[in-house]
Amino acid sequence: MRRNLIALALVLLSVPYLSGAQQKTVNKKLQFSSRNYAGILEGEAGTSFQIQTINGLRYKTWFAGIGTGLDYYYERSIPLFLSVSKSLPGTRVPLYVNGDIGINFPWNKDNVYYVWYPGTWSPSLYWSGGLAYKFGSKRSSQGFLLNIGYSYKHLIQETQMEYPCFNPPCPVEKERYDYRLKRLSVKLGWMF
Amino acid sequence: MIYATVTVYRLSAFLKAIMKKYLLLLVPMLCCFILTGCLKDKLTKTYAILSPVYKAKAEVYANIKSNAPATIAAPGKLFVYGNYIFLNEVDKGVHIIDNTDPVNPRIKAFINIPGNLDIAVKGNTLYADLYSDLIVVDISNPLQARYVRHINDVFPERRYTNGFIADSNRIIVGWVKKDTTVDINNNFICPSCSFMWVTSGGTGVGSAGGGPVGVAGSMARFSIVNSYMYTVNERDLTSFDISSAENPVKTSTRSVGWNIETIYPFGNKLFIGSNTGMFIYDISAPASPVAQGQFSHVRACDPVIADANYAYVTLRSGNMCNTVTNELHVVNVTNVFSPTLAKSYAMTNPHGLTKDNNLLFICDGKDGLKMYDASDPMNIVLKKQSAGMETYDAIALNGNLLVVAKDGLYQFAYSTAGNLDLKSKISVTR
Repeated sequence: MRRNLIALALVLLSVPYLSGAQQKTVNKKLQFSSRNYAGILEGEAGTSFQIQTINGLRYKTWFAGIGTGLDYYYERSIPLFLSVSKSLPGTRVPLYVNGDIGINFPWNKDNVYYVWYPGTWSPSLYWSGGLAYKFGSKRSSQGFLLNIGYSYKHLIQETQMEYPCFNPPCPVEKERYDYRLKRLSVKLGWMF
Repeated sequence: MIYATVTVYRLSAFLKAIMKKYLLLLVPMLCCFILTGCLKDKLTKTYAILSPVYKAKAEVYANIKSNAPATIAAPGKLFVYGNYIFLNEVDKGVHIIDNTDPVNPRIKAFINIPGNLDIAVKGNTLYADLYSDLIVVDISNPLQARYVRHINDVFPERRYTNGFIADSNRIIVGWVKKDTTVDINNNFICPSCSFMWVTSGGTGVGSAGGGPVGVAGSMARFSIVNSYMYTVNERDLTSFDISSAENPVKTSTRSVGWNIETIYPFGNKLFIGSNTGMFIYDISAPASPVAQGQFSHVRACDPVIADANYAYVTLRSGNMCNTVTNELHVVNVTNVFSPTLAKSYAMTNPHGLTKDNNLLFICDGKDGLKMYDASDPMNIVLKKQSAGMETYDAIALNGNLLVVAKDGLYQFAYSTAGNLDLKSKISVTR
């Protein structure tokens, strides 16, 4: 968990650095951009909170960056993903289509959720896609974002149970639980 | 109030404007609501299904003999007789190891005994469990062992294995393992699961006593004293008259308690370890052991050994032991009718133990093997530790220490001077 927090902190702390570096070194069309969201995830397991920060580069109508955050759905986890978005051409309103893909790290690797015996959570796939509407600013590079989309996270829990016996080594049964979690994502953010 | 109303009105107007103009935003939402499966979480469980492999009983009995040596994969209980080591391969049979040279022990043969967990040897006869049956094997030449006979249903609690039961003509000789994945969603139901149930919950290994009897480890559930063999299952102590070695005759069964684990003989006493305490039985009348004393402790797994004045009981946590206690209890058994705790020592996860004069050896789980000077049981002093192996049980005999560990069978030379030197190791091959 500590490593996850450190990774998250590093990503967040790198934002100003990246921002400064980009502004100094790249041409005017390639600019640093940051998108920071808070929102909800709605699925079969209920409603959960999420926050995300995505930082990267904007080039014309394209944006690509690295994102991370906290995802409280089912089992708290930290997604780390690549994010790509593009403003939709030909629309009179500022709409973006975006897609994220990456890995989802469990917050607590030893948490037990579905089974009572010890298990370990493993990182697995995370992806999402959606549409975002920008409002609140006339500048193309900043404003509020209302993002609605679909989000998928996969968690793997592997358990190992030693069956009772007086004569070690006792029989061990291994089981694997795959949680494929599908959610509607609604988030509000600030882009700059 | 007016301010709130205005705010709500403005907000709804704002949302209406968005919905009207930017219906595109609702596309993913609508997709998900229309295709409700998009929002249905899926939980699957992947596990192994075990299917039994049967053989006809006649065929199994015919194969109870010295077969070609086999690799050690799951070492179980240990029995030493003369220059031979008999090492149980859990649920498979017995390895016969020529230990004439402890530096270079050689696996000479393997006796196929399906469902075997415990063994005991007296003279030319080996006794072993085959699931619920007691098997008698002639080992006058250990390299040409042969099946003599069997006694049905001596260990009835072992009739069921992994949820299966062999019928009267067939025996389970192995398992086919197949991984399978099922949807479980919100129901933790797995009707077709065949879990690895208590395949190792049955009976146990031998003992020491008068006559040409082998030596067993402290985890044993068989014990031979003179012309009687004693076995414990989860509840009962059973006596067999083996004066006619190839024809054991059951003489008595005593209900001892619940969760009986091990049996250890000393003099004319049997020390029986259970989950909740240690029981002492007198075998002055060997056909019918008589309960004498009892020492209760917290619920824990507890092999026991004893000498004239003290019993040494290890309590460990984990598995079915239901405790967090990991200790060595030294119990004063001078008065067998009223054993009392003399002293306890903290341990890591103690399993089997063995004692040779004043040296006490304890298999302390992942902490490896520990050698103590126990000349003063009130002040046991650690003399040596051999770490790096997960040890289960040991037998110390005339300066040679045999240790069963997760990764193999070790032999050490030891002395009162405090040396504990590795002589050899037969590694587990999985």
